[in-house]
Amino acid sequence: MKRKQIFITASFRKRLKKLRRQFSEDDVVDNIKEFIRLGLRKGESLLTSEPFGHVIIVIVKCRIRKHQAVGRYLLGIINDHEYLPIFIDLKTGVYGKNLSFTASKHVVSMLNKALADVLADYLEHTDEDSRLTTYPIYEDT
Amino acid sequence: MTQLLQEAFTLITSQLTPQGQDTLAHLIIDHLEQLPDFLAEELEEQQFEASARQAIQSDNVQHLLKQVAEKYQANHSVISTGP
Repeated sequence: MKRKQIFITASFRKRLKKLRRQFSEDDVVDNIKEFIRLGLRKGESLLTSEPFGHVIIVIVKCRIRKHQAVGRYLLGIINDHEYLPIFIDLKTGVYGKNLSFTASKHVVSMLNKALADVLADYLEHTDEDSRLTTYPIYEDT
Repeated sequence: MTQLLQEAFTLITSQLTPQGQDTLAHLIIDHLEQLPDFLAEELEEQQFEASARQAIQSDNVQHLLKQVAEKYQANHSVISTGP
Protein backbone atom coordinates (compact mmCIF):
# COMPACT_ATOMS: atom_id res chain seq x y z
CA MET A 1 0.00 0.00 0.00
CA LYS A 2 1.25 3.46 -0.93
CA ARG A 3 2.30 5.78 1.88
CA LYS A 4 0.00 8.77 2.27
CA GLN A 5 1.53 12.18 1.67
CA ILE A 6 0.70 15.79 2.43
CA PHE A 7 1.76 18.37 -0.16
CA ILE A 8 2.17 21.99 0.84
CA THR A 9 2.25 24.01 -2.36
CA ALA A 10 4.00 27.34 -2.84
CA SER A 11 0.71 29.16 -3.32
CA PHE A 12 -0.86 27.67 -0.18
CA ARG A 13 2.26 28.62 1.78
CA LYS A 14 1.89 32.19 0.51
CA ARG A 15 -1.74 32.26 1.66
CA LEU A 16 -0.83 30.76 5.02
CA LYS A 17 1.77 33.47 5.51
CA LYS A 18 -1.08 35.97 5.96
CA LEU A 19 -2.15 33.97 9.02
CA ARG A 20 1.34 33.37 10.39
CA ARG A 21 0.39 34.87 13.75
CA GLN A 22 -2.34 32.24 14.12
CA PHE A 23 -1.14 29.09 12.34
CA SER A 24 2.16 27.65 11.18
CA GLU A 25 2.75 25.15 8.40
CA ASP A 26 3.39 22.48 11.06
CA ASP A 27 -0.02 23.24 12.62
CA VAL A 28 -1.72 22.62 9.28
CA VAL A 29 0.26 19.42 8.66
CA ASP A 30 -0.59 18.17 12.17
CA ASN A 31 -4.25 19.02 11.61
CA ILE A 32 -4.33 17.08 8.34
CA LYS A 33 -2.70 14.09 10.09
CA GLU A 34 -5.47 14.29 12.68
CA PHE A 35 -8.07 14.41 9.92
CA ILE A 36 -6.52 11.30 8.33
CA ARG A 37 -6.72 9.53 11.68
CA LEU A 38 -10.20 10.63 12.76
CA GLY A 39 -12.10 11.65 9.61
CA LEU A 40 -14.60 14.50 9.55
CA ARG A 41 -15.43 16.08 12.89
CA LYS A 42 -17.94 18.69 14.09
CA GLY A 43 -18.11 21.66 11.73
CA GLU A 44 -16.29 19.77 8.97
CA SER A 45 -17.94 18.58 5.79
CA LEU A 46 -17.50 16.85 2.48
CA LEU A 47 -17.89 19.42 -0.30
CA THR A 48 -17.48 17.22 -3.34
CA SER A 49 -16.25 13.90 -4.62
CA GLU A 50 -15.21 14.02 -8.27
CA PRO A 51 -14.43 10.80 -10.14
CA PHE A 52 -12.02 11.01 -13.07
CA GLY A 53 -11.67 7.45 -14.35
CA HIS A 54 -9.93 5.48 -11.60
CA VAL A 55 -8.90 8.59 -9.73
CA ILE A 56 -11.25 10.18 -7.21
CA ILE A 57 -10.62 13.71 -6.00
CA VAL A 58 -12.44 14.65 -2.83
CA ILE A 59 -12.57 18.15 -1.37
CA VAL A 60 -13.48 18.66 2.28
CA LYS A 61 -13.80 21.65 4.57
CA CYS A 62 -11.82 21.20 7.76
CA ARG A 63 -11.50 23.13 10.99
CA ILE A 64 -8.25 24.15 12.65
CA ARG A 65 -7.90 25.50 16.17
CA LYS A 66 -4.88 26.84 18.00
CA HIS A 67 -5.13 28.78 21.26
CA GLN A 68 -7.88 31.35 20.63
CA ALA A 69 -7.69 31.18 16.85
CA VAL A 70 -10.27 29.21 14.89
CA GLY A 71 -9.77 28.71 11.19
CA ARG A 72 -11.09 26.60 8.37
CA TYR A 73 -9.40 25.25 5.30
CA LEU A 74 -10.25 23.38 2.14
CA LEU A 75 -8.40 20.13 1.66
CA GLY A 76 -8.09 18.27 -1.63
CA ILE A 77 -7.62 14.49 -1.38
CA ILE A 78 -6.44 12.49 -4.37
CA ASN A 79 -7.36 8.80 -4.23
CA ASP A 80 -7.21 8.79 -0.44
CA HIS A 81 -3.44 9.06 -0.86
CA GLU A 82 -2.30 12.63 -1.53
CA TYR A 83 -3.52 15.53 0.62
CA LEU A 84 -3.36 19.13 -0.62
CA PRO A 85 -4.53 22.03 1.51
CA ILE A 86 -6.02 24.62 -0.83
CA PHE A 87 -7.36 27.63 1.03
CA ILE A 88 -7.28 28.75 4.64
CA ASP A 89 -8.95 31.60 6.47
CA LEU A 90 -10.00 32.56 9.94
CA LYS A 91 -13.50 31.70 11.00
CA THR A 92 -13.93 35.40 11.72
CA GLY A 93 -11.71 38.26 10.72
CA VAL A 94 -10.07 38.82 7.36
CA TYR A 95 -12.56 36.76 5.35
CA GLY A 96 -15.12 36.48 8.14
CA LYS A 97 -18.84 37.05 8.36
CA ASN A 98 -19.17 40.25 6.38
CA LEU A 99 -17.52 38.92 3.27
CA SER A 100 -19.74 35.85 2.94
CA PHE A 101 -22.91 37.70 3.74
CA THR A 102 -22.41 40.58 1.39
CA ALA A 103 -20.23 39.36 -1.40
CA SER A 104 -20.57 35.67 -2.15
CA LYS A 105 -19.44 36.37 -5.75
CA HIS A 106 -16.22 37.71 -4.32
CA VAL A 107 -15.83 34.63 -2.13
CA VAL A 108 -16.41 32.32 -5.12
CA SER A 109 -13.79 34.19 -7.13
CA MET A 110 -11.31 34.12 -4.22
CA LEU A 111 -11.82 30.36 -3.75
CA ASN A 112 -11.62 29.81 -7.49
CA LYS A 113 -8.23 31.53 -7.56
CA ALA A 114 -6.98 29.53 -4.56
CA LEU A 115 -8.05 26.27 -6.23
CA ALA A 116 -6.50 27.25 -9.56
CA ASP A 117 -3.20 28.30 -7.92
CA VAL A 118 -2.80 25.13 -5.83
CA LEU A 119 -3.78 22.80 -8.67
CA ALA A 120 -1.41 24.64 -11.04
CA ASP A 121 1.42 24.17 -8.52
CA TYR A 122 0.63 20.45 -8.37
CA LEU A 123 0.60 20.18 -12.16
CA GLU A 124 3.73 22.22 -12.74
CA HIS A 125 5.77 20.57 -10.00
CA THR A 126 8.79 18.63 -11.21
CA ASP A 127 11.94 17.44 -9.46
CA GLU A 128 13.83 20.23 -11.21
CA ASP A 129 11.22 22.94 -10.52
CA SER A 130 9.84 22.15 -7.08
CA ARG A 131 6.46 23.73 -6.32
CA LEU A 132 5.60 21.67 -3.28
CA THR A 133 6.95 20.27 -0.04
CA THR A 134 6.12 16.67 0.75
CA TYR A 135 5.31 15.40 4.24
CA PRO A 136 5.07 11.60 4.33
CA ILE A 137 2.52 10.12 6.73
CA TYR A 138 3.67 7.29 8.93
CA GLU A 139 0.47 5.54 9.93
CA ASP A 140 0.26 3.26 12.95
CA THR A 141 -0.06 -0.34 11.94
CA MET B 1 -43.31 30.40 12.24
CA THR B 2 -42.02 29.02 8.95
CA GLN B 3 -43.21 25.64 7.71
CA LEU B 4 -39.72 24.19 8.04
CA LEU B 5 -39.38 25.31 11.66
CA GLN B 6 -42.81 23.88 12.37
CA GLU B 7 -41.71 20.56 10.87
CA ALA B 8 -38.52 20.66 12.94
CA PHE B 9 -40.45 21.18 16.16
CA THR B 10 -42.90 18.41 15.26
CA LEU B 11 -39.93 16.12 14.67
CA ILE B 12 -38.31 17.13 17.95
CA THR B 13 -41.49 16.57 19.96
CA SER B 14 -41.87 13.12 18.45
CA GLN B 15 -38.30 12.25 19.49
CA LEU B 16 -38.29 13.69 23.02
CA THR B 17 -40.10 12.84 26.22
CA PRO B 18 -42.13 15.69 27.81
CA GLN B 19 -39.22 16.13 30.25
CA GLY B 20 -36.76 16.33 27.33
CA GLN B 21 -39.00 18.89 25.62
CA ASP B 22 -39.02 21.04 28.77
CA THR B 23 -35.24 20.79 29.04
CA LEU B 24 -34.91 21.88 25.42
CA ALA B 25 -37.32 24.77 26.02
CA HIS B 26 -35.25 25.92 29.01
CA LEU B 27 -32.08 25.61 26.97
CA ILE B 28 -33.48 27.77 24.18
CA ILE B 29 -34.88 30.38 26.58
CA ASP B 30 -31.65 30.53 28.63
CA HIS B 31 -29.55 31.02 25.49
CA LEU B 32 -31.89 33.30 23.59
CA GLU B 33 -29.36 36.12 23.62
CA GLN B 34 -26.68 33.97 21.96
CA LEU B 35 -29.11 32.56 19.39
CA PRO B 36 -28.72 35.33 16.75
CA ASP B 37 -24.91 34.94 16.82
CA PHE B 38 -25.20 31.18 16.58
CA LEU B 39 -27.60 31.43 13.63
CA ALA B 40 -25.44 34.04 11.88
CA GLU B 41 -22.41 31.79 12.23
CA GLU B 42 -24.33 28.82 10.89
CA LEU B 43 -25.60 30.84 7.92
CA GLU B 44 -22.11 32.14 7.17
CA GLU B 45 -20.78 28.60 7.18
CA GLN B 46 -23.49 27.48 4.77
CA GLN B 47 -22.73 30.44 2.50
CA PHE B 48 -19.02 29.62 2.55
CA GLU B 49 -19.67 25.98 1.64
CA ALA B 50 -22.03 27.01 -1.17
CA SER B 51 -19.37 29.38 -2.52
CA ALA B 52 -16.72 26.65 -2.33
CA ARG B 53 -18.96 24.20 -4.20
CA GLN B 54 -19.62 26.83 -6.86
CA ALA B 55 -15.89 27.50 -7.26
CA ILE B 56 -15.14 23.76 -7.52
CA GLN B 57 -17.79 23.28 -10.22
CA SER B 58 -16.47 26.12 -12.38
CA ASP B 59 -15.12 25.08 -15.79
CA ASN B 60 -11.51 26.10 -15.16
CA VAL B 61 -11.31 24.22 -11.83
CA GLN B 62 -12.96 21.12 -13.29
CA HIS B 63 -10.47 21.21 -16.15
CA LEU B 64 -7.56 21.49 -13.70
CA LEU B 65 -8.92 18.69 -11.51
CA LYS B 66 -9.08 16.44 -14.56
CA GLN B 67 -5.46 17.27 -15.38
CA VAL B 68 -4.45 16.60 -11.77
CA ALA B 69 -6.16 13.20 -11.94
CA GLU B 70 -4.32 12.44 -15.20
CA LYS B 71 -0.97 13.43 -13.69
CA TYR B 72 -1.67 11.33 -10.60
CA GLN B 73 -2.65 8.37 -12.77
CA ALA B 74 0.50 8.75 -14.89
CA ASN B 75 2.73 8.99 -11.79
CA HIS B 76 1.17 6.11 -9.95
CA SER B 77 0.25 3.79 -12.82
CA VAL B 78 -3.30 3.27 -11.62
CA ILE B 79 -4.36 -0.13 -12.92
CA SER B 80 -7.15 0.15 -15.43
CA THR B 81 -9.73 -2.62 -15.38
CA GLY B 82 -12.12 -1.02 -17.85
CA PRO B 83 -12.35 -1.64 -21.60
